[in-house]
Amino acid sequence: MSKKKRLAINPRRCVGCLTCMLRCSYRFTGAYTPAAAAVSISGPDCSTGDFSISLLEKCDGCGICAAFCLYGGISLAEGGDRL
Amino acid sequence: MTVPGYAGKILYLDLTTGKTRVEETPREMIDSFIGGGGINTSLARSLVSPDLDPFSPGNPIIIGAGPFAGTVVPGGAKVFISTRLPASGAFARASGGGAFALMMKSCGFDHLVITGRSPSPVYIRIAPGGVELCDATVLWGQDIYDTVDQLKKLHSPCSVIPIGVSGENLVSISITSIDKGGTIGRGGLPAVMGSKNIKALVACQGSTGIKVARHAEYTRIINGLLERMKSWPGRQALQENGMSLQLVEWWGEGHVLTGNGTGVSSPGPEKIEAFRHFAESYRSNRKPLGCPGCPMADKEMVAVTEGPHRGTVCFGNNIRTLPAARADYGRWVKMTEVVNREGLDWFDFRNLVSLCQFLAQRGLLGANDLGGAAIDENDPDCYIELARLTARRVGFGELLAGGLKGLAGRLDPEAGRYVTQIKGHSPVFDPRSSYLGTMEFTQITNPRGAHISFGGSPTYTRGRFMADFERHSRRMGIPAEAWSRIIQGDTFSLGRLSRYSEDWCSLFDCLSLCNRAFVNRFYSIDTITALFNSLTGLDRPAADLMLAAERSWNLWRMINGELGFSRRDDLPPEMWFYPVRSGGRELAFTDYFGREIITPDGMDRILDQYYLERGWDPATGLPCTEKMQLLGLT
Repeated sequence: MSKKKRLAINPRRCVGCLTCMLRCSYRFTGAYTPAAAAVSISGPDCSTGDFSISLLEKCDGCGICAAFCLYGGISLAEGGDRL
Repeated sequence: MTVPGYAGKILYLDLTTGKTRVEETPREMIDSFIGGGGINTSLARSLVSPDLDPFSPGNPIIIGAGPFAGTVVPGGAKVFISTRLPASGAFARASGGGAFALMMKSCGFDHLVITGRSPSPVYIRIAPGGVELCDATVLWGQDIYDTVDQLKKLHSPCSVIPIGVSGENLVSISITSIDKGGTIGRGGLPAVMGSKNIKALVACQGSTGIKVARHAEYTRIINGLLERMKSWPGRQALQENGMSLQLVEWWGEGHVLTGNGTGVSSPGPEKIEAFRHFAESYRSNRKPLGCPGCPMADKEMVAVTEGPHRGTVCFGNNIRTLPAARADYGRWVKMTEVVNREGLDWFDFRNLVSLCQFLAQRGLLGANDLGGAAIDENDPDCYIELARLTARRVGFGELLAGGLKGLAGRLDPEAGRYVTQIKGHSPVFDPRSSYLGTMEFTQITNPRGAHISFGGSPTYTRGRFMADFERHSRRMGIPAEAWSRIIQGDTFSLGRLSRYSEDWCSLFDCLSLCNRAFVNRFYSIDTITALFNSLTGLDRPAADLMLAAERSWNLWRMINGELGFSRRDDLPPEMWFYPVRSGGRELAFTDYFGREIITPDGMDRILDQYYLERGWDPATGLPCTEKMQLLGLT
């Protein structure tokens, strides 16, 4: 299975629930450790309410963040493989 | 060895000496009280005593996160703070959402126990392996939003529980917000923090991982829950409308009692039209915010983008609207922002303002008491002015700062009967405008005072058929042997059902699970047991978990019994027994079905049933020796 999945980021839809960080970190560490996630959520911006979504260097594009995002803040871009 | 689902440690901090110690989270506490609000109560047992008033340095502040916090359990994000509160004098279990529980556990701690008093203002920074007391001199005097913003700039990623000016000034109707969003601690938690010179609690992101005993099984249960939650039609409505509008959908516009329960506001065409305008502005200017792992995102950020209040932004989950004047969106958002920034509990604050206006109009409160302040409970600018006076205890604000108990103590008996309170707290639901379900009744029996977090049951919504009760009883873990005592033909025993309703919600507290109706409704005792066991590997039967929830509730009641609380404090407000009239219709205090008027004697009978089902002495309203022995609390 290709690791080169394309992730679409939509900060406007992110509500800051951190599910992506928790799910991602479990894959890397075998425990829920937000600090170890390859995706980082910060915010909300005090004027727009939007969150900042960053994919860190160690992200291998596995797509687990998109698969479990509850609000569409991160999704698989067109053409990206599903998990 | 750390039990999966737990961070594994409890940190004790003495603010007077600055000394700390760290202990393992005892396995016997996990077995007896599970975690979260349950273990908080257990930790308090040796620390709370009648000679320690809420502002004594020895009054503990105990912060707890249960096993579901810091994981991806939907709704498993709650943090619990237990302390003796000034509004009621009772030992309370307060809860709130946001990321604080997740962050605290990521630093390695399930619980933090704070005693003593710092010699100068500090904020407590919870970091991996320990805490740091940081100088908060420059933050003292700042409001809740500004304090959060400054601390987030310094310590992000983190979660912040600040106090506002009202907390610094020991205002008994103070409240705070976690990361500006989820409220916690009505009844003066910020005042207790202020008395200890704590400006804020900051939980930083650490590197402790929360392990799962049987991950495949655990994930399968959670994914099944999420599928059900995401496909629930109410979820989309909640996302689009927010709590403020959705509550109107759920409960209807109907007749709304005024703040102090002495009058009524009825819907009319002009008000419905005004509300429509309000709703349009609100919908287009809100951004949903969610607690960790929650698919419901009932928190929000609301902005004003035009008009004189352009640029105003407030957080939370309900814009403080009054049915009488909801047309001016910008003014009401502004008022909500100011009340939130000052850190005042809206329910108590609104009740007090409305009550004082009512008393002043009847000459029961004099001009000297009001200090020249003009009161108009339908004017947002009035609330803004009074919020600022109250937070600073200036003029009339000094009277409001003392809360409902304080006001009642200054009135003669004729005026005192109009004070709508239960143990110093304003009830949130008045059964005359709704009905007497468990949500309404447990406001009376809650050890903390009137609160609405513990009444979930089939009576949450009106008009349930009795056939629903057995299904919900199974879901809530009510033992089959109790059904015959609860369900009585075409009606039910409210007192007996309420015991299990409280225990069900107590279980949520022990786990750090949110018990809002739109989360609670997806959980059954079987789901929770399977989830707990796959997470922790402890493999406990469902009845064992329910017993732990009951044990923590009984211990909570016992602690308050030692503080002097008893059946005589489980009193509904006198005003509930007086009907209010609206448009030719009488709104009276009736049972759930609206069939019978509830009299004081009738209320006594409901309370008798409640105490009997709990195994408590109906004379004192406190656990009997046999019950304490059964629960291992002697």
